[in-house]
Amino acid sequence: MKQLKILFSLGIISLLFTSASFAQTQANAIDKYFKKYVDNTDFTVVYISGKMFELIGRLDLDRETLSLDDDDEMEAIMDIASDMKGLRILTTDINARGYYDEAKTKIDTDEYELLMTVRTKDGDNVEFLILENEQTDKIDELLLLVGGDDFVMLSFVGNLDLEKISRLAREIDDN
Amino acid sequence: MDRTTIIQLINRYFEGTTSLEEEAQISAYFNGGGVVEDDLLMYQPLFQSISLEKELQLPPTFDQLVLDQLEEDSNGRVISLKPWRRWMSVAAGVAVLLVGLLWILSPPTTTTETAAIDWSQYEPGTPEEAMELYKMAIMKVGSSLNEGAKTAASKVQRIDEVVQFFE
Repeated sequence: MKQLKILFSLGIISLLFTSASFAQTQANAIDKYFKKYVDNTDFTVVYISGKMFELIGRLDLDRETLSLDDDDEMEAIMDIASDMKGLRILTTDINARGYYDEAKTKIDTDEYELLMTVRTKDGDNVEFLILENEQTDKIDELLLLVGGDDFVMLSFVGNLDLEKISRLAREIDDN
Repeated sequence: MDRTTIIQLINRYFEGTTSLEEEAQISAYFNGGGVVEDDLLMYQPLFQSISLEKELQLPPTFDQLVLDQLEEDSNGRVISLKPWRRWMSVAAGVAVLLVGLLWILSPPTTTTETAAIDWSQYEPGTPEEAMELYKMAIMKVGSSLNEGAKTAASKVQRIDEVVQFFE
């Protein structure tokens, strides 16, 4: 019985290691699935770090310079920024449709949940994918795939709250 | 027995094709006390020993001797293999876990093949620039969400119309 107990605890320890290493690789979808796009010269790449978001939070901004419609919209944007730990943007106008279709097939849908697919007036297809954090009930990553004239991939990483995001959507809609 | 017959028989004996009667003939030739040809003398010890072995008999007390020997041995200590087996299974389990841990802790091959992305080179120079880019990105999220919600609402409305038609 003693041996069984030892075996059992070793099993638990190894499981913990597994989940820890798994969590490390969950950082963001672009690192995981789209490394080759970052090196591809067809793509424009932008990265905003968590540190930069801290600096953004300290900026003395007003809505005019940001050409926003009202203070509520501004507030909603800054509220989301305070939860952000990283933003990665990849965009290209070369073979946009091809890259969009390829990107959709690459994402593991067991891991990322498809929140919704939207076809906008401009003819863009937008896929909302989320990586939920079961412990905090928040979202670790929001991934947008936009396919139209351009292919755009937006990866928002942080401790995101869908409620805050939909509040922003309401503010935009009100204006 | 003439010379040619016995040579033929010996040759066939070594080929393994002789019958039991023929083997008895060979044995009789070498053990019968008759004259053995000079060039066949080298085979004599072999065929003599074969017939001697046949004559060997076990002593009548042989069975008893074996039984006595066995009884003497059974006084020894009985050793169980069980503890060893248990430890072997524990060791095997630990080995499997160690291999698993090594596999988990070793970096995945894909990351060693392509170096990790150095994201810092893609950062905007100022927080203002970063803010502008973030604003555009998050506004895209907000407006797409709205369009999605509207599409969903219009679909619901269309369904409502259909439902009303049937009512």
